[in-house]
Amino acid sequence: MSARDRLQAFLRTDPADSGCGETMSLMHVFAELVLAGLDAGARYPGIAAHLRGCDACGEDFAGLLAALSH
Amino acid sequence: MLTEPAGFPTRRIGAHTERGRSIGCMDDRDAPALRWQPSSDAHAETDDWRRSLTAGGAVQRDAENRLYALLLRVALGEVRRRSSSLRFSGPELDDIAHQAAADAVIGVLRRLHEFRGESRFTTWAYTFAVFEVSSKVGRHFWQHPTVSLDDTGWDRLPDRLGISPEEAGIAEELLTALRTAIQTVLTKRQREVLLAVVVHGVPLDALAVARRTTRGALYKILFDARRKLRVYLVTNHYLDDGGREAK
Repeated sequence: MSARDRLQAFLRTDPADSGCGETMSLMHVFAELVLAGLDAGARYPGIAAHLRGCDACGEDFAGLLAALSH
Repeated sequence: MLTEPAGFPTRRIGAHTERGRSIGCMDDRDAPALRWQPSSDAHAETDDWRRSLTAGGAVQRDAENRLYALLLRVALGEVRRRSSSLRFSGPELDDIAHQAAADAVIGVLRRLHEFRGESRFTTWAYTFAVFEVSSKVGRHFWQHPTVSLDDTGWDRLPDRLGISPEEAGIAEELLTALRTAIQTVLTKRQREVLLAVVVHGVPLDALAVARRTTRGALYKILFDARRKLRVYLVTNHYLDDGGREAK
């Protein structure tokens, strides 16, 4: 990947991004959709966009899925 | 535009009484026909928890103890899952887990009336434990600080973006434009947050503690900063709208 590609990837923002507050408030619902094998991203595209862009919420989501899987 | 809650303790987990706060135009709560419904077993379980956690007396104490045990298991699992990326271990991890579980129970009890049963009760409750672990790990970050929040280190930005010295040399004009944009189009606060998170690698939750704000507020600052930088580079023909280099 070139420097330009890396910079472009870093600067890319998704206008659908729901932000941390919305994502945290619906993470439990989103997680159950994922674990049920349903298309959570289609139902909550803003949350899906946020989880792709926010490391902190992504880490929390991974933790929630891990807890639910045990 | 996104406006995040004023502070971490006031975050409304699972409370769906407010309008969405999307950065863009999409509001994920505007999809009632697609709403996920837990099973009848899950509803029954939720009702049991609601009843017992509001029963008062020994029944409520017993339910709170069961909830604490449940959330402690989640918190312990979460700190262990994150342990490889943390600068502390052993008893400190266990302490964080116990504190997180205790605070998560308080949070669940405080917000129980807001839970609308859109998931299993336990799934909703788990989020409190996970978020508390995040918050406490962020707070703990400053007990073992390896970074300072001074205004140095911008030279490391290309490296932090995964750009090698060779690639940086080839894209020198673009990176010079990026540095110009950082200095001219970003606010002081946007520069500070960008520097701390991207260059110094400070986790959002840790920076939120240092700046007495929320993860969401910092994410929004970063979001806006990235968008402004991109607009500058596109407007000045260093990047095109499709993301490819234009100059």
